[in-house]
Amino acid sequence: MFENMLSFRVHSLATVSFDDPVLMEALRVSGIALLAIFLVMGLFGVMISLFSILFPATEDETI
Amino acid sequence: MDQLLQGIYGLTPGAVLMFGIGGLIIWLAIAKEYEPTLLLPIGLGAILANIPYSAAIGTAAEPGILTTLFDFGIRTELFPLLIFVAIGAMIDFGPLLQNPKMLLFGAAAQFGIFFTLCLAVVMGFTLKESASIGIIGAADGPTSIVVANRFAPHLLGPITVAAYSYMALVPIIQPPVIRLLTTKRERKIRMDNAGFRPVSQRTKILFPIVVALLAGLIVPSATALIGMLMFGNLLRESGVVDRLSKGAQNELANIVTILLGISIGAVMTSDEFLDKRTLMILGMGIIAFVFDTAGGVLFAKFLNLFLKHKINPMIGACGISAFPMSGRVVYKMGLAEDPQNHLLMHAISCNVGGQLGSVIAGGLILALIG
Repeated sequence: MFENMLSFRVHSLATVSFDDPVLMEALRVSGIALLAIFLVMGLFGVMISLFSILFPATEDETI
Repeated sequence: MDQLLQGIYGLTPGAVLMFGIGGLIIWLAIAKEYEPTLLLPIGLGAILANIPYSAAIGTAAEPGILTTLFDFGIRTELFPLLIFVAIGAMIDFGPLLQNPKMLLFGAAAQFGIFFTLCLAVVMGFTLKESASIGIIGAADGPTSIVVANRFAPHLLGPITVAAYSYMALVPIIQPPVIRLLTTKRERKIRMDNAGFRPVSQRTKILFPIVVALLAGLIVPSATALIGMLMFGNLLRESGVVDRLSKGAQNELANIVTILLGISIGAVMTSDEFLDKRTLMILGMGIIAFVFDTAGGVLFAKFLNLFLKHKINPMIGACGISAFPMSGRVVYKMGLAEDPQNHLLMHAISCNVGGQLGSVIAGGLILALIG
């Protein structure tokens, strides 16, 4: 049906179906992972800010 | 006589082509200095692995040195994890600790991973293969190796070559994307260093311990990745094991890099590497880097809608892990636009955040798809 692999891939792109369970799973995982990365990085940021308040740099460290 | 010529008789067009590809990788390493520490051993490994009846590969009964190294160091994930100890010992998280909001760019610039993951699914790869291809966008070799080894070991060769090659190509890949998404005026935005607060040594020591603990609790599958990175950093920041810290930065990094590179070559046999899917993986690797860059830049532009002191959106591009190339690229671009615009501190802090973000992304992928 397809002359070569490339035309098959182009066909795949042209006929993207959002009913495809694998694609839906990929979108779900991607969404959750991106959100989780922001949350984890935000948590690290809060933690660093807390440390800065709890353990401020001494004069020697400021220089 | 036949025994002496069996190597030549056994040559296939695929093997000859792989010699060329190995040679090309070596040329890129030497002539173009693209990640030579990794690409040089990978290139020679690829040549050795494709010699017919190569004793470097051996047989199932008597595995050769490349197969043994691969089974010992890559299949067990030992080598990439040891590299993380070395990277942790080399990284100074100081600029990031001084300006922790840069961590958010380390999250935004992982967008390319997930865009590429979905693209690979559309192109017909399985979910696990797609995750392994997407992780090229982590711009972090060891993370790519760990994820690919777990999910798609048959694609490890092209994924590793793509990950390391594109990291070296960051100065070529990122600038056009940044220019396309920003105006000249935006690229000239100056950022003062007021956001940088001095941090205490105690904070620097606590940081790797608490990050390893928190990341491990939230994403247990990332414990090995982040734990080794933070272990290396603790060696550096503790201030009491200088010898170990320097050993991790130099001897450990050098020895494991040699073994890692040559072992990767072992999977670059013509049967596995010469496949149309390899070309597709190489193509999607670039797409991952492009969309990482776009994710970081567009996130900075989004934040600027709400901020009084604007962020130079080029900084967002440093959120990809390719450290320190990405930071340098943006610093130079800033200077090219305005010789008085020194973005180095911001760029490097963002870049260090990207290093952390990529490892978290790898761990999350392992957790969610594994």
